[in-house]
Amino acid sequence: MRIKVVLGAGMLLSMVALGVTLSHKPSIVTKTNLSFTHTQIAATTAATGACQRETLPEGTSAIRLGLTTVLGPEVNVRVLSGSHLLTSGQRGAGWEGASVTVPVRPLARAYSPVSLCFRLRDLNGPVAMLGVRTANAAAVGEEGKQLPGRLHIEYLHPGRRRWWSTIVATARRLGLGRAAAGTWNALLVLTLAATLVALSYWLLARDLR
Amino acid sequence: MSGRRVPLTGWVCALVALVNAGCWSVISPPFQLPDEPSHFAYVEHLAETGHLPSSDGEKYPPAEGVALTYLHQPEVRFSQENKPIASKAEEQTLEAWLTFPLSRSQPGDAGVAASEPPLYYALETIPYFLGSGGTVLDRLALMRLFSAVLGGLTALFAFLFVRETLPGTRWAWTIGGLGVALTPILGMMSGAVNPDALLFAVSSCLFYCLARAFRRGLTPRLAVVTGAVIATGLMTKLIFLGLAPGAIFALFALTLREARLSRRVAYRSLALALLVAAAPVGLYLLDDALSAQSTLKFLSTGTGFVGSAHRSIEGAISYIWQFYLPRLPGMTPAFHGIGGPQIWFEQVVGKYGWLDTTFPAWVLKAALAPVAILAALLLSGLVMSRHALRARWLEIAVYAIMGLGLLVIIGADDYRGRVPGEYAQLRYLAPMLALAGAGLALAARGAGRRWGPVAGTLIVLVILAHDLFSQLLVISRYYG
Repeated sequence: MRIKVVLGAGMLLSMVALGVTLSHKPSIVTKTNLSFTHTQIAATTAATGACQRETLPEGTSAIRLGLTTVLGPEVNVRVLSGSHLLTSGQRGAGWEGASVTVPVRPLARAYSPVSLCFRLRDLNGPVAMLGVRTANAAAVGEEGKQLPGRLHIEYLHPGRRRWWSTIVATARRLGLGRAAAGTWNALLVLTLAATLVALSYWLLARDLR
Repeated sequence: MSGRRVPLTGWVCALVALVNAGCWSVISPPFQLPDEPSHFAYVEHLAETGHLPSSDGEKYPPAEGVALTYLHQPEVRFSQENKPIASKAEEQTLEAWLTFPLSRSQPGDAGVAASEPPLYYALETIPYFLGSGGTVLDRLALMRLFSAVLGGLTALFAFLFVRETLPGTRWAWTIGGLGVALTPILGMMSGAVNPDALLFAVSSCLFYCLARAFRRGLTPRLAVVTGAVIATGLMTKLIFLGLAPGAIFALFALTLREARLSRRVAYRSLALALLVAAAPVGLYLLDDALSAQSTLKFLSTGTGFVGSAHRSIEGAISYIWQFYLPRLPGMTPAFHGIGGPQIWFEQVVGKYGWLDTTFPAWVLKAALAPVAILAALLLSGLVMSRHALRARWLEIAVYAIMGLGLLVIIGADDYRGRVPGEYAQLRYLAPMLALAGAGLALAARGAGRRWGPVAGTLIVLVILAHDLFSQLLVISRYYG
């Protein structure tokens, strides 16, 4: 009896968590300063920073920088209008991939031009900066030395649509580019996940009663 | 109770793991799992030419290359801002390219997979041939399905291991087996073309064989099976070398114990086990002698760090310690801004795809609570079982040596590598999934006789939720 109560409560909690998750509005990219490339414009193995002239869109809640490494360092971002700090954010060490997303305090309106400054601390290995090489680079390193290009930067803010309202489009995309393409792949995932849950619940109810 | 028959629960655990891996294999876009292009290229080259890959370069055969290009694989890998193909037009372009009769065998590169032993890849040629009439994506899907079957075997052996280690608590077997079957890391890696899938199954089987031998005695038959499992592991992935010393120690310890009853049978069993276990090394040496090549070269490229510049034994010990545990006073910092425990905690919470897909930061904080409760329950379970554990100290020492061996080999690989943290990946610890299953069962028992099944049910439900929300995370990353 007790196990059935726990299983029932577990199911209810999971459904609530799923509902809350699907009601969430995922962040979307509102602006990017250039199309993404894997071109390395500079690399560092020591703590460093740089500033780049940018336009900050209204309501930006996170800034994604084209930095790549394995065990990422702490990243601090500051957005300045002249010498006035508009917003800032920090991402702790440990991230990995070809970009790092730093949450910042959203602002009510857009600002342009701004200086977007980032600083890397506690490096565990080389960090490469990704972007495009330009003749007149607008990114300037800490020592006043110009970087040989512009760093790739994306601005994110919470989207207007909730996850559940994008389910059909997501299901359609899931079915693309695979062995037997089609939206039926999403139905297969649903069926497999439901089987997983059903088998687990059945086994727990049977063996732990 | 017969020890020979596998209870229905064991088979259901295997089925759950198979379904879980199947689900992961569908949600993970082609070639967006760790090193999958390299592992696929290895199988492709082996199947098409009958030879092992000749280079660790990353120039894959054109048939695979066009698939990678038109799936935008290089752009999506590591880059959250990029998604796989998202329109019918892109898919039609991909399909058009996939139907071209392009070479599947040249130039023979297999990237990071090139130095791995061939067993998993040889087995994967079966689904490869089954799908040879289709496209690269058809073959990849079938090969992933084969890995999913291996995921089922991992859960089955983990269940059997828990049954041998906690024979008196039947309900706890379900907790251990189901807990392992639902682990996201098992689902993800068994839903990929990656020798880790076979490694997990073989490692779980080895733990089961040893637990069985400690409980029921090392018979000549079990000795041969254990030796064969060790041999299979050695032919699967180099990292298995971390488990091998503990397993060999176990065979000697069991022999000494059995020798009290019959010295002849005991030593014969040991000889059989060692002979079978060492067979792959003999085969490699024979192949080398016949072909004038060095098949064992991977032992020099895949292990060892002592000869490297700026590397030392003292440095390695300090580094490996900090790779897992907080730095001790007097140690030179190996990591900056983050410690070993935090690195691994983040891995446990979840890093998917090419390890570039993670939960938001608040999930890491929220995960501290269930992990702390689980640790407290495990501690309670250990204290409650202390008398039984004391009586089985030798068996526990064997598992500890095996676990330590694995930790050391992963840490040493990271130490000798060029990029710190490169080997801090949860999948490298997953050969110990059977031990994790026993840990989950013991933690459930830690809640006491009355509340143990309730605690166990909660533990499994948390793992199930973790698995399903991890899959949702991956779906949002690639298709959202």
